[in-house]
Amino acid sequence: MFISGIGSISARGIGTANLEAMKQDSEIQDRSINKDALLSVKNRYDLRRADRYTAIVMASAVQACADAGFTDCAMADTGIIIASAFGPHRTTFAFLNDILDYPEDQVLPTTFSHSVHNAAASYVASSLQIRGPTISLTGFEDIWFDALELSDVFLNSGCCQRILLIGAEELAILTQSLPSILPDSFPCKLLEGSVALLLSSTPEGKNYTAISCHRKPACGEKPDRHSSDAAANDFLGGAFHTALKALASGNQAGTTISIDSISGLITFYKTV
Amino acid sequence: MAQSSPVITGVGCISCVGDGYHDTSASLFRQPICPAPSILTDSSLKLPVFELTGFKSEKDQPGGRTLALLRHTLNQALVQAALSPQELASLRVGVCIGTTIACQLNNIPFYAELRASGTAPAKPLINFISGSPAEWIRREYSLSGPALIVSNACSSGTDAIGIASMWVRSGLCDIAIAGGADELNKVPMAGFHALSVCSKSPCRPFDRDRDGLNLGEGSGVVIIESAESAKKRGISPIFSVAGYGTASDGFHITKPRPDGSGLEQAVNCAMQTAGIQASDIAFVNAHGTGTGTNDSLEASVLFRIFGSSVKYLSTKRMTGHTLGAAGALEFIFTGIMLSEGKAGPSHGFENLPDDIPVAPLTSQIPINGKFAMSTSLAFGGCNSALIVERPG
Repeated sequence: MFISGIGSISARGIGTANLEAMKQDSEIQDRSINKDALLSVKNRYDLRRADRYTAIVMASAVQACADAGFTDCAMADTGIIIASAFGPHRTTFAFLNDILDYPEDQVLPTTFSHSVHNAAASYVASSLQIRGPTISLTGFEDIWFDALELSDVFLNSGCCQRILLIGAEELAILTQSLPSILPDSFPCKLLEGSVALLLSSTPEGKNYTAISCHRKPACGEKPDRHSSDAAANDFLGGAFHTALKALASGNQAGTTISIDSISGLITFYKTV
Repeated sequence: MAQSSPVITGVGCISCVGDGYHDTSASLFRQPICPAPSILTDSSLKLPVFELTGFKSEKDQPGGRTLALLRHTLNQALVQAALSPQELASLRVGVCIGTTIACQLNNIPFYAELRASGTAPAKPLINFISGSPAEWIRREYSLSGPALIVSNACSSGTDAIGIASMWVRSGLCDIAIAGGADELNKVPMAGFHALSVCSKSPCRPFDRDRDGLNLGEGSGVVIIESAESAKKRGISPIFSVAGYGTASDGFHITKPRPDGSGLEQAVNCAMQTAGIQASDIAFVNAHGTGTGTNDSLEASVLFRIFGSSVKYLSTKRMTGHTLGAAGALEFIFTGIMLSEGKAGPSHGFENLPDDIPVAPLTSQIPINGKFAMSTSLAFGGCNSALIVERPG
């Protein structure tokens, strides 16, 4: 499969240029996204009711499509895969607020419908008129790699020609509290952001590079979550790593980048 | 033309229909039980639900009751497939599980403490992360393949089985463990009630007087492998996953696209994968929740694709809507009906309304065909279909 467009948003801002900059940060103090950046996405795509997580997902999704030359038009034969560890947990907890603060029969339906994991995928699909497979995935170990591998399976099956693959995490009370609740497993705050890759079965768009997935044995060597690379010790590490590798490939036809399964949180269950 | 279809060699299932393959096979053709208000959750809503009151699960365990239900059915499936942990660990085995509850930290006491003090005990968080069902199974059995949780709302179980079948079909995995599980929980009960889609009486899918769904709980797991792998292991297939299709409405977060084109595309894609035509489908086990919008749209699409002679039913009156488990359980029910050579009736249906073009099955009928279909529609505009094939 080929990477034909890339999009991203992080604390550094919207755009892939900020990914390169983030790589240089040995420690990022402010790991949350500027709300003005998200507001611009919400206004542009009429996401009045959508939550912050959806705006984070949309920011990279529309950028990846535009990067490949698709702008606000129907994308036939395209699927969406979104991978996230915690998903829209700010909205999940907003719904718990309702349950805690109000009688059970007076909670808000809109909060509930936006608290489900696939709400963001629904907004991406309707905003970009994507009508192919739409899959929302969660997990804490190899989630990005497994999603990349699944993208390849979908493309090879012929059921669609493109997959818009998005990795996303949102900072909120739970993810911000992880270092204090589980300091051994989460030594620092998570990054907030999203990375989107428009993957295609044939070269098109920016045609950054071909990409192949290689599954390593489950008991293989794992990366050090205390790495000095700020983007490596995070759920989004795999997504940032893949995008950076593609950007570094220099749009040279015939190049292939190889991604291994990395088990970013494998250290977690070793400690519990 | 379709390649050799991945086969099912093990089935595990628990719902208000029955516990295990044989119990479920026997009970599937009997009168359903009546739903009743929950006694295991602390919900104050007196909604009728299909609750597994006889299934006991320990509190404060990884993955909670949902993982307990899943483990129960996984054990059943592995026994039927004659797979030992040693054999599993030596093969390329993937795990794909659909759920809506186990992928969200809906622990209200934990959150109340976190909200009040900014910190909370670690145990519930550890149980949530380490109990993520697909990864829990991968660790428990030392598996080397992918482990994915599909959280596509009500089509999660269907998509999990569809994805796992694609892994096997593509050669990525020798064997896949797939299915869906969800427990009854205060959060979806409050949420679905707020959406005004819960009936105060037993649900009536496709009926003139339908007024909503009943929630339920359950789990369904299947062992999927290539026909060659099953033959090599000397295991007879129970049935096959002949096709899978999924498509997005690209329309609205809760409302289905009015023209039904998303569901139509999913059904056509599934038939294309299977290399068959609409006339090859003996019957359809529809999503059929008992809500006004779902049932009228789904019946209209089935009529458009299969014509006026379409044979279809819903099993929601027997299980309730088990959310992430629904697609997996209904795939299994479809396979059992096909294997037993009979289907129906669609319990809860009595009178044909104006917005349903053709009635579902009103009595049990013999089935001679080789293929049947199970469909799922979900929040977020996800539409998915699986085609089951009878062996031989």
